[in-house]
Amino acid sequence: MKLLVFVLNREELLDEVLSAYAEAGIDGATILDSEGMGRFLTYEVPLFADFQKFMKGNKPYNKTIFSVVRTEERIPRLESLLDSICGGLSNPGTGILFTLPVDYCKGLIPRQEEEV
Amino acid sequence: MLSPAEILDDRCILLDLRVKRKKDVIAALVESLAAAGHIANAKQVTKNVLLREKTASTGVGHSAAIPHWLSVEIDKTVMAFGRTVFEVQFGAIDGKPVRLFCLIVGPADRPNEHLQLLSRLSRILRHEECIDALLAAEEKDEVRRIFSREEET
Repeated sequence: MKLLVFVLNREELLDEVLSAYAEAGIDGATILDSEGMGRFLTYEVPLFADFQKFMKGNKPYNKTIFSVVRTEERIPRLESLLDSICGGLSNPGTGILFTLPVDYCKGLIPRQEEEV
Repeated sequence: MLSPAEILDDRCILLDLRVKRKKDVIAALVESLAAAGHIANAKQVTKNVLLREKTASTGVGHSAAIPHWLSVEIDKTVMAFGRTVFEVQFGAIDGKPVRLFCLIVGPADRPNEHLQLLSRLSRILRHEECIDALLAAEEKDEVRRIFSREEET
């Protein structure tokens, strides 16, 4: 069982990304509004205000999607779909995908088994 | 990572600045860098640092400010430390006047290094003990020792 975390930088792709989750067999997830460290530092901390020029091309806001995935075979399927939708996750500014082992989980019901 | 204690040069530590205005403090610090041969065009650097201050004040609170600029004309980061006799209105985030100034000029092609040094200084200058020690320091060496001690914590 894994906790799958995806930070999606291009928020406009959220609907396509969630469709990819469903297609890969992951039909539950929690979506958080999030923001990059660079945006916060440069816009909220006056000392770093002049670093805004180095943020060009970076997306200030993003979405963070959490899912508990019991069937781990679904993850590579999702990865391949995300690569295609986001234009290659290895390219900067697209997104970050990672997993963590989950050793305990309570509260998932069979129908929502992938939902955090 | 750059160490404030290591890059601070005695010639650029000014302990009894008798100025009252933001622009005069910055000019004095920049001129100390120029006199030490660290930068070439003091007038232009002063102008740029003041321009940067217009974006948002670098007064970080606790009587301290870290004015800075990234320059295409230098290849290593330089720093000047100043303590004013009078309180200077600097638009600091806590609304209080400033007496301690760490001016940094870094190479424009190394913004990450600059960011690291700024972060380090802003952490150090949050420590009440450090601020008190800098306000009381009588010798230039003492200033460097204070920074050095704080860097280790």
